[in-house]
Amino acid sequence: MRRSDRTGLRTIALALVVIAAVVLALARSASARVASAAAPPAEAASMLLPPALTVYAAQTQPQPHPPTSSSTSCRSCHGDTDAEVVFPSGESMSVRVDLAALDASAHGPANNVLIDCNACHSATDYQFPHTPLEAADFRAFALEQSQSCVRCHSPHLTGHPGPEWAGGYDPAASESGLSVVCSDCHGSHQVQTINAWQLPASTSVCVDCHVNAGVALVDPIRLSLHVEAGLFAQREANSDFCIGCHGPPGRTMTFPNGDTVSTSIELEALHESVHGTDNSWQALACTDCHENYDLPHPPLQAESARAFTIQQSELCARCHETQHEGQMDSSHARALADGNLDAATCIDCHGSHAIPVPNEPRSRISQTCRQCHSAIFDEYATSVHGAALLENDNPDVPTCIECHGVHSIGDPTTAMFRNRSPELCASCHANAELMEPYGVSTDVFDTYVDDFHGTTVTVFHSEDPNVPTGKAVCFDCHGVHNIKRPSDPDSGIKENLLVTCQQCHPTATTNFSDSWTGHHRPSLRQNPLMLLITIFYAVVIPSTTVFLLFLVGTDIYRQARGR
Amino acid sequence: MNEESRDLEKIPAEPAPVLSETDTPVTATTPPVEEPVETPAPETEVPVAPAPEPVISEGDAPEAEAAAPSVATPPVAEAEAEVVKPAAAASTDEIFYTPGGEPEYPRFRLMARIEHMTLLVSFTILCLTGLPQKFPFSPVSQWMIGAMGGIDMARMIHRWAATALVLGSIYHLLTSSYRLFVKHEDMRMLPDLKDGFDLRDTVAYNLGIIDEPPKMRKFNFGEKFEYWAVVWGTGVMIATGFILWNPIAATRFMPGSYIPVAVLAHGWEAVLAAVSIVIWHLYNVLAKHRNVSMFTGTLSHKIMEEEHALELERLQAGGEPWKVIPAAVLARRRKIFMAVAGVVLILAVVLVFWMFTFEDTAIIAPQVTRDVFVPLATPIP
Repeated sequence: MRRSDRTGLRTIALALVVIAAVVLALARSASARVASAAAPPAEAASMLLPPALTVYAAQTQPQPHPPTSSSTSCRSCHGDTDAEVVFPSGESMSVRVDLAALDASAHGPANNVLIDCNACHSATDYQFPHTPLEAADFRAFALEQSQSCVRCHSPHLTGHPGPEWAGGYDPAASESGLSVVCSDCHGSHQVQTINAWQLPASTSVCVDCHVNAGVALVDPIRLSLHVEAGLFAQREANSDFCIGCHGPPGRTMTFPNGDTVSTSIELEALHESVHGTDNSWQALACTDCHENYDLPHPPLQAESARAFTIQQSELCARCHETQHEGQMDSSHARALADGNLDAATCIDCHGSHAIPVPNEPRSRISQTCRQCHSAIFDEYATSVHGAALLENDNPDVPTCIECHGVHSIGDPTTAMFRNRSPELCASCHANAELMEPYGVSTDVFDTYVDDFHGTTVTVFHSEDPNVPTGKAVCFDCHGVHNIKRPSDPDSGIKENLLVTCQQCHPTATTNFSDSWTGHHRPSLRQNPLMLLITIFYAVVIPSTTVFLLFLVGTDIYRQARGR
Repeated sequence: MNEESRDLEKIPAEPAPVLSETDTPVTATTPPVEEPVETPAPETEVPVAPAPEPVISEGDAPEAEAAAPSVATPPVAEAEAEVVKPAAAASTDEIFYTPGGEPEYPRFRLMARIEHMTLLVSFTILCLTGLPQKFPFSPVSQWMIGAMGGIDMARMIHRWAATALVLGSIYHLLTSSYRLFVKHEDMRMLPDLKDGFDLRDTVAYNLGIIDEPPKMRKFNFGEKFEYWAVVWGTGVMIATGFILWNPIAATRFMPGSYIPVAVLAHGWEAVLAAVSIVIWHLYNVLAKHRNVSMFTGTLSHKIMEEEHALELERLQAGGEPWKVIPAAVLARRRKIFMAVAGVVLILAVVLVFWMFTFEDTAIIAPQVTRDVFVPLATPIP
């Protein structure tokens, strides 16, 4: 697109050059206003540009010439000098020109537009040695100098009311000093190209005066219109405009209920966040989340800071619809709907402006939950899972979300959760690949399912998992958050097994806990009697069956022969 | 009256009267010379041909009651009936005819039929509720459990059926004791060598190796096998079932490692029993021919001839189907038996009640309630 645009522009420019050459040959006036002659191609070019920028079309194309002797001679002095011009007002101005910036500017060779110094600083005015400037002060000089832009450009915004201003250039207003002139926004030697103007950074030009320098807006609504019209709503962070106010620290606001919060945004954190420009994700603009913000901002509807947070969380759904739907099904959302304003919203877990990648490092997940569930986190931190995560950043152990879910965090106290929990544990513990590095048996689930407790829970209650079960599930014995290695003396397994059994079987005595096979399959070492019984029936059942079938078979044979 | 005296004489004479029939395996090889003790030379000569006064099968019920009064609980009323009946009825009265004119021979007394019915019902229910638990992963099992109203309901039914089975077993023990200690009947269920020969000969006959089928007694080898299989199986199932029902109590006097063993044994024994019943019992009583003697109490001539030829000969020779005891002796022994049996029965029922109620293994898992919202700091505003 851009390349073809550029080619198109070049063609037009070439045509214009020819026309301009003819015009120049006929009239030597450099300042002729031949707007009508050049209008059609200018409009064609303007179609490609946002409305506010159409004014850049040239009225007359300056004759491109290689750096002339005059330019060369100017550059020889002004490229590197400490000389200053002192205005009668006492203001001083460096005469040094940043040649590199000039060359890179819209007027420089970098953009294939070669304008020599005399195009703006007319040769008649600038003889050598230069005559003293006539302007009384720096502002007068700037106003005077801006006149030279009009030679090539149809000026716009010189009354500076807004992009739709149709009044054209008003030298009187400019000279009165009330108006903004070209160089105020565009700069002088470092004037930017159209493309550069479309970048968000250029918004700071406005901010420099209206926000940072505190120049009052004549018509505030106009600026909002700019925002809405798209001038600042580029899909790249236009946030610099907002940052103009919200960047400096110490800015606060107060909610009707008295909550005072900071409205200063840390720009760096914002840009490093998942929504920022420094990430490979698409950068968000302030206005994507803070919408319909006229300037000055209308008062917020939210009664309190918390209410505002909850309200703002709704906006995440626009892009993160799936996650939002999941979240709406969560315990957090239900608690919120029940009136618990402490219930976590998107922002509580993810943050607002400085939103990090939520699972980098993985421990961030559990640390996030810790913000509200610190007591449980403390237990988890001592568990075999938690210790591995927090100390070694182990990629295999579960964080909170592996068991509780990410957005659709359900209620873990339901019969459903309990009945399904063995499968949850099995999703890792029956995975040989995952368990192999840790030497953890993957038989645990199957042996559990084969056992009375496990069969009842995983098979017989699977039809109707909402029916509460009293049968033990994994976490009844191994612990919920404080899961330890079975060999750990602090676990509910080793010496403590009887106590663990007694949670459900209060009258159990010493022998009772031996009835648990410890997830071992029957073998000569582990409960040989079980193996013996299995072998006994493995022999007796088939042999009895075969024997009886044989007898029945002979009888059928007899009957078949009619005896 | 003669039978009474015979009985009276015999008891002191025989050192081990209960084994008298099984003591004579020789009879197997010489089938014609049968029943040396039970019905030696009946005084009233009965024609072997099926010509006795035909008793229509309505006579079944009174006959059964008379022959099997030993429903343990209301014994006294029927005691008189038994005393009266044998005196009046000739031995050949036992053979009667169906409306179609087929002769029917007495086979099971009422008490046996009650035992069988109890076993049939409880065993079937136990299988239907238990086997799905043995094979939980089968969709059929899961469907069955669902149809029964869930696993908890299935287990409840299983336990009620188990109680019925245990009570049935106690009843069987009591009636067996009655037959043994009151009637002094022979233990015709004990296996002996002849059963081995009968098995061999049956197979040989079925395969066409020999031309004559073996003549078998009232209880042939197959029935003895089934009976002892049931005795064994019921014993295993009751013992292991008790352990599973009361694991906490069980581990007070046995190692905990026995419990998973009991689980295994209980499950596999059930499979063994179910397989045996389906293959052997159902084939023999339903597929091979329809033998409903456990419901009617009598068996047709054809099946008698085929499966109990010796018993048939004995009955046709006028032998009593069951031993007849003089009323006075019977009354005296029965008085003692009833006293003992009453105590035993009460103890047994109390034991069963105790076994099945003293432990509450149905547990509600501990619900841990805890503070989940313990924020580190004020949440983000």
